[in-house]
Amino acid sequence: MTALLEARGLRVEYGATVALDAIDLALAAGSRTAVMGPSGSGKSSLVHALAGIVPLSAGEVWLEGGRLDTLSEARRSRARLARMGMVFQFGDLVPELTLVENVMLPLQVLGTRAATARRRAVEVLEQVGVAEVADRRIGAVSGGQAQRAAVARALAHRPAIVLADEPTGALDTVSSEQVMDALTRLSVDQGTALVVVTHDHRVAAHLDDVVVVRDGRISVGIPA
Amino acid sequence: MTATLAAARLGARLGLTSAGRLRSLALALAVAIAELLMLTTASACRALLLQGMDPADDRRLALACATAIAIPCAVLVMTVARLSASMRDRRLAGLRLVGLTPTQTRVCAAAETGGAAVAGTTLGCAAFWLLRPLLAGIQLAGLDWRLHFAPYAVDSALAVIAPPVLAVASAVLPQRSRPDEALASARRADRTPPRPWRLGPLLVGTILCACVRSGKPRPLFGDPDDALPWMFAGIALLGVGILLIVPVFVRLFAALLVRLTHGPAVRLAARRLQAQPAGVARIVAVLMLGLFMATGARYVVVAWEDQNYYRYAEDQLHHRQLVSFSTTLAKADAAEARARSLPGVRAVVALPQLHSRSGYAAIVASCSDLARIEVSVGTCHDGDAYVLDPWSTLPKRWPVGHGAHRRTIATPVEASPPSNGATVGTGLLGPLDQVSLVLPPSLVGALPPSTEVHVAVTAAPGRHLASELAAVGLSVDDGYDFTTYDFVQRLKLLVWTIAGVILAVGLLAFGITAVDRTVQRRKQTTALRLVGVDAGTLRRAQWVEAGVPLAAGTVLSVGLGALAGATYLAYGEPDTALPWGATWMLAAVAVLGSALVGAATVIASSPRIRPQEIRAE
Repeated sequence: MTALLEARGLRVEYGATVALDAIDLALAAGSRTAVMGPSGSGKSSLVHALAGIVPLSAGEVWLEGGRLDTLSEARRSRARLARMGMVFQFGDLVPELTLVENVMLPLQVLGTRAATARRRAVEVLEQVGVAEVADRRIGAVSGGQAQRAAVARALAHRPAIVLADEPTGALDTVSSEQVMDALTRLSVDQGTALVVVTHDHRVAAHLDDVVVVRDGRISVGIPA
Repeated sequence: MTATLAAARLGARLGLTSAGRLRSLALALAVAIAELLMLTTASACRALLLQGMDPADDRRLALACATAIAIPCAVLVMTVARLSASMRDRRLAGLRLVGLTPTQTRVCAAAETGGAAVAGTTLGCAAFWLLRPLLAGIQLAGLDWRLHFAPYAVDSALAVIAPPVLAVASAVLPQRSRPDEALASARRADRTPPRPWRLGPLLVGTILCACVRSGKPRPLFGDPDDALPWMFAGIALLGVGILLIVPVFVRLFAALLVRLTHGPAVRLAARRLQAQPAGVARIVAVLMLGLFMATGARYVVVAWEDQNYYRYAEDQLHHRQLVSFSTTLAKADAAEARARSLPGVRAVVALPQLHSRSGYAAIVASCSDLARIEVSVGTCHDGDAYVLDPWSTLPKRWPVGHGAHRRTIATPVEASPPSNGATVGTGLLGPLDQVSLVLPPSLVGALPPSTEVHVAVTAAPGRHLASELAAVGLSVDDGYDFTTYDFVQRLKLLVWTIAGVILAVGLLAFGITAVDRTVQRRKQTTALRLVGVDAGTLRRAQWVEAGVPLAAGTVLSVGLGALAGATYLAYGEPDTALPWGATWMLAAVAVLGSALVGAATVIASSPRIRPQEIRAE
């Protein structure tokens, strides 16, 4: 069976520093994987490499049977927009936009009409439990609510895979649970594969597989 | 003491960190520009005062110029000194938490800003003294200020000290006294929206000016004496309104954008505009006020340009010189010969002058005589007499241009003395001034040698024909004094220069602030790029956010300045043509400048993917 997202012999260097080396990883459609490891081990670099964000020194990244790493930056952006969802540690929503407008943004860039995008955005915000604050801006909601809106933004366009880099790293325990619950529930509902970078075993417990990265290499891949 | 010194050292170091270096460089350049402009203005003002004609008027003019230049300079310096303000406030609040006292924190902030400000001061002063010979060599409409182009000591001290003091004060004074305030996250988007009453002064001012201009309702505005206070009130309200309106204007503009368009780029730009910090509104307000005043001033200058003496001078300088001197018929030939001997003289025509008992004056001239002194009488027929109607040379909407004065209209009359209803007035034609009739030589016949003769002399364009005639003993009756003309030319130049400085400095301040905001937003930009939002969308959003409202604001301010100026002219000079050309040009330059500033911020926003930004908080 063809993997949804596959890394073959990845190597990423930042100047003289080797961030990733000899990474082979295959993620199936609908799979849910935690990427764990100590600070500086290369977890985020792995996610960035899988998303086609950082240039590779060696290796290949394949998305849905097509080579991702050789595409131009514009086409990689388009691929991320259409087939991937991203969640970051601090949400990184646009503070000037309301939550619903933030969720609408990728949909509209994809070409969805404003009214349709809004309906879909509200629907996803309801699913993650923040519909009541949909018309507020980031400064007027809690960190947990903002992060759930970021989850909604990542999943609103029904991507094939969501890559989340420490999505609960800046949240308290209760908010972390709410965010992970929203993330896993929605990804299961939509059949979306999920990759979550985390330090937290409680977060990893929401997922099916764990990949441990150490010194830029995958040291072990085990079921959670 | 040791802790204070340590705080100062820390401040100096903060000004030299990688991010701090850029801010310090921007501040040093801003202070240097302000120093250069203020020292130049101070020097020009001194030269004006020492060489001017009317000390009281010159003092007022110098003060107005200095103020007009100083305000945008102050805004530039204060704006740049507050770059990345929220980040710096948070950092200083962090120092308070570590244990620094408020004074030590202020010392730290002052040291961070002060170093760059002092460097900028040094650079600006050096640039001024290096450029001084070049600047002094520029001759403005007859004013040669090479001898006096240096500031008074007091002005010099003020110009040198003010910018760095303003910079340090701007960096130190707004500092929040409580660390928890400064550490609180800035909820910019949820700032209380500006109140609609801010629109009031501008609306009332616009209505008042429109009423004064139209003269309606007549009981209030029809009589010029009654309208005067309303006119000043209207213009003052426009000025105050511009200062107040900017936040409302930006919000309305953004709301309009959101309503009219549904694209992600415009929505993003509109939302950012709605959350724009107050500092940006202040810069735009000062820029708009400056353009408003400069445009209005240009209209006031038109009132001078519309005067006969100004048209005379324009005609002399650009079309041809035309003067006349008086003699008698007996001496006319000799005088004509002397006049003809002067270089550049094109024609010399003797025009005998006759006076009726009732006070009318007539000249004796053939059609060819009139043609030689370039007076057009349409289809002139020798043998006919003509009534001169000098007022008809001043039609409504008179286009200011070369040669327009020749369009004297004359109508044939019966060869008999005119009735009392004939038009008499001051014309524009020198020798024909105060003349109401042109009589053909065939009608007059032979004249006695004692007849008064006006000898009209035309020459190539210039300003020295009268003095050249005087040098050969021919004293002209209607020599032109160019002093007032030169004064008006200087005013025009000053208005353009000040408008240019305001526009340039205002756009620079806005541009620097906008670039700083885009740099502060890089993390957000990167996040959007990682999500997959394309660079074009982000660039369009940035351009719309920075360029479009600025262009709209500057055009609005030029339009309001035109309204104020037109109102003034309607009150004092109702038939004066409005300087639409200058107005459109200023508006076009403002739009172009805004577009360029918008483009510069797009480049600075650099929507490239920087993964490291995502992890940096």
